[in-house]
Amino acid sequence: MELKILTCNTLATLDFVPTIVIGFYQNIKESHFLQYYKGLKEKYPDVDVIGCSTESNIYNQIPYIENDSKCVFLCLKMIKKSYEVYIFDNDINSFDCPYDEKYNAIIFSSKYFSGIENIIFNIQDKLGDGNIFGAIASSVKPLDDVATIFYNGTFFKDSTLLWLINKSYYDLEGLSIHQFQPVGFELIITKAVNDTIYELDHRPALKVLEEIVGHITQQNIQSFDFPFFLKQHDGVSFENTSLCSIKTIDTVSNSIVLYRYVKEHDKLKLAIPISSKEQEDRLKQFHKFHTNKQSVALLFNCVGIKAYLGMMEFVYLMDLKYNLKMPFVGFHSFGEIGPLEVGQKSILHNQTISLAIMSPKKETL
Amino acid sequence: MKLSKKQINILAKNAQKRFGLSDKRSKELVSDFQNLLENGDLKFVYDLNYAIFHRKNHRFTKNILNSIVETYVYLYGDATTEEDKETIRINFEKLFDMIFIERCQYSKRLEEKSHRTQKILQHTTKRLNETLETQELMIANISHEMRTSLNAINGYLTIINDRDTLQGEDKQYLQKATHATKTLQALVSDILSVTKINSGQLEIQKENFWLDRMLLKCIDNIALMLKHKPKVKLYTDIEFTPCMVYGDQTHIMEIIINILSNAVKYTDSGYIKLKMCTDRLSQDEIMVNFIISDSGIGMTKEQVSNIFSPYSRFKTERQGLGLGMHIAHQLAKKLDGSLSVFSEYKKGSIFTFSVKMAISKKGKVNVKGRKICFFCEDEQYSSFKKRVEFLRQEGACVELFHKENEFVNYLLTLDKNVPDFISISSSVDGYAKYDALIYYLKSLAIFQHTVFIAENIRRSLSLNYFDEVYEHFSPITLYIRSEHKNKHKGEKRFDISILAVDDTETNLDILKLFISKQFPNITLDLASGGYEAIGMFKIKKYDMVMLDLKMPGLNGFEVFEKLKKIGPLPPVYAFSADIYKSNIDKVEEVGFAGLIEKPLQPQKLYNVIERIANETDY
Repeated sequence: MELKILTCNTLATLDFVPTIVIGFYQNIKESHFLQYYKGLKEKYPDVDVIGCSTESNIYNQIPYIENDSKCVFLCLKMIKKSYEVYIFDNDINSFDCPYDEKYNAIIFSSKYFSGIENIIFNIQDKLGDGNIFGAIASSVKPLDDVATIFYNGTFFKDSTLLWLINKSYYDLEGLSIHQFQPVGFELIITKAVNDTIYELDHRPALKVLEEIVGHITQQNIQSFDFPFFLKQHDGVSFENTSLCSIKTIDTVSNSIVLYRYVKEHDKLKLAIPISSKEQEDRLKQFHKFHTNKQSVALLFNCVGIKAYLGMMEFVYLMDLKYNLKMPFVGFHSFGEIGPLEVGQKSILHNQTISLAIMSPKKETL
Repeated sequence: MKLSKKQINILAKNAQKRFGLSDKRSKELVSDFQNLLENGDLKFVYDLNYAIFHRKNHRFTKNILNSIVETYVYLYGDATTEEDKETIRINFEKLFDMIFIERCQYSKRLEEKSHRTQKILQHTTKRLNETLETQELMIANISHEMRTSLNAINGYLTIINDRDTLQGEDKQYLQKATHATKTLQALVSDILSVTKINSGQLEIQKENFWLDRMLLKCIDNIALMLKHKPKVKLYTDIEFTPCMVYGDQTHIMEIIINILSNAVKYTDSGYIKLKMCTDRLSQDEIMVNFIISDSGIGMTKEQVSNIFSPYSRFKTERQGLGLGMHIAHQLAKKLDGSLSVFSEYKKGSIFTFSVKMAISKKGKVNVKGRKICFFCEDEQYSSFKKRVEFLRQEGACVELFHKENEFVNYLLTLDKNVPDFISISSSVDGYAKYDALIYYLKSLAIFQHTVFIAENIRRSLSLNYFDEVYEHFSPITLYIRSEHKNKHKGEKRFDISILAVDDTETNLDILKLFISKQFPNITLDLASGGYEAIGMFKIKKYDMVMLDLKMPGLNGFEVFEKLKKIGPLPPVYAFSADIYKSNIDKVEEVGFAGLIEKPLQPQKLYNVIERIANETDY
């Protein structure tokens, strides 16, 4: 598998014919991305181009995090017919494609929507022991609802892209890590509509939360200071449930809006950061993957991770670069899909660093 | 801006010297630095930042800071044009900004996050404490109710059993009911122990005690269980320790009894061995090791790893909740001791419990002038040797016989100066023979005050004339008891008056039955409530009052306060099923003489009454 990670400035230096290009672009620069797409298509008519809008891009070169409006491209020369791409409406009933046990999958969704968790679960069920990773597209302003995905010339505002990669040719493995642990008593959601929690333990949700954490400011929201562990099924420990972030709060209705849909009887626990040492230990879990020289990693860091680590995020990325020993590319997302432990089922989270490593099978090298 | 060769050399050498870099690495570093100045390439800055993160060493970071400052001063001073000076200034500003300013801002934010986390944790701790308090109250109430009911059941069962009027099947049913009650009592006690340990309510209560006596009590405790296992033999190997120790006897016993009970429970044939040995740690301190081994079912590795977890019982058909070993382990930790286990599946287990204890200055073995005669067959002499030597050292006059004919001849020819104690350690058949001899000797006036002791009998024997019978070993304190024979001269008459107050009729009923059985001369007045008790107390003088703490209307504490105002108080004992530390503390604090636990343990009650009766001038 030939591969190259290129930016707008270096795209012209591509020196092989790619079969698929995965591009990440800031939503405000869709027109630029379209131009690059056209250029690629002109030069390589058979190329498939997948895209996903981002808050900012990540890749394995200085400055590691691209905050300006540039695009970043992962150009791959893959074996013919070793993958398939499908686009679906963001509707649980529309997900119907011929996926089966021979595939691993990567998902890009233009936005979070009701039932996406079930879709991820169902796809995994059909993929058997196949792995699934992915992310929710993001935008420069979280509440703008303008994120998109892209497939061969078209931007989709309310759709999900499923990239199925044949296991016979390529391995896909990885992990999601976060830097938190559950603390305190579980809070039971007693009144909620979609992503808005009105009551926790039969009391106004925001008041309950503020009793625990103190007054919540807009700065706290922007910094993703108070994530929750969300338990939607019994029989799972909070440590193995997904993290979800607060999108906003409403001081009039005393409600909390999450980046996730919740329902009554779901349970929450507040998340507090683990120690720096534990954080680094978790990061080291990425070092353990056995890869080969043609491996490449897709990295989905939550915008919450960016807010949490701030300007120090690049240090984590450098650590990854030096220890992972393969190129990586990705973006800051509004949700990440991956397992918390190798071998576990993937779930949708917030505030994680999720890594998906694609490697050609030894026999196809 | 381009660095001169001289500047490159100086910077490389400086890096080499300061950071111990190789020639090659220092040149690479300077080259990256050159690229920063020349092209604005940030690799140097990123690498430096990463190195700081990676090393996590304040000295290293300080070294970098010093190096940057020195380099800046050197290059700025060396710069010949304003343009170079500006380049140096701009790039060093960038360097400082990324490495230090941003890092400081990051640290500040981390600190803010830490404050928020502290706040969350404080709130959580507060809620947790509130929950624990509620839980404790709930368990205290439940346990009170359960213990009160158990008190009644147990009491009535004991009385029915003592009357011995049931026959056939009914007798068996009674035995089964008694057995089930005991199991339930043990269960309630286990749950309470775990709750107390978990909530930090467990109190260490140190006292002076004799190790050998304590072990005898432990053995007594499992004697009944052992009776049901005829194929299991208990062996003891107890190091002779003629001193009192200071420690938490109750909890140490709880640990040993737990291990011993488990050994009995999981051994169907073979042996259980109780060994005690000590290591002298200092003049005032010893480490006491209790090793309990068995030839039972043993455990798998997985079972061993879970043995101290709560509810880790392996064989579900065996009795219990599986809390025993968890409690023992927690208690051992609380006592600053250690409890470990080695086990082989289907072969048996070895538990080792070690705990430090202070050597008490009290309890000297005063046997000066005491005449003691031992008979033991030669092969058993080694276990007696230390004891005999010790007694002689302490001034006792010890006669020792190994041969039967010499010993019997000695006894039969004595006409004066008879021993205070005669201890016999014989073969199994020998004891019956000596029992008959003692019957004869006791008919002689000169042996009236002699205590006859059977030791190491190793199995349950019916001996009628020995005064003391020990299946395993006798305690050293046996020889310092002065009024040994008084025990057998009939019970003292206790003519005291007791007022017992309890709102539960069954409790009063049982109390009356127990007391009247043991002390027929005691006057026991019963009151079913606080006001009634106060009325009775006003018109009659009592030698002892027993007050239930939890009563409707006036509770025990309130009654106590009111009794205090009436006149001089006799010893007032709280009577309660709530044995939580908070309750015990409160009982002590307000001035009760003590707490009598429910379910009622008759012997403990009798001890209290005897003590009060002895202190009362009647």
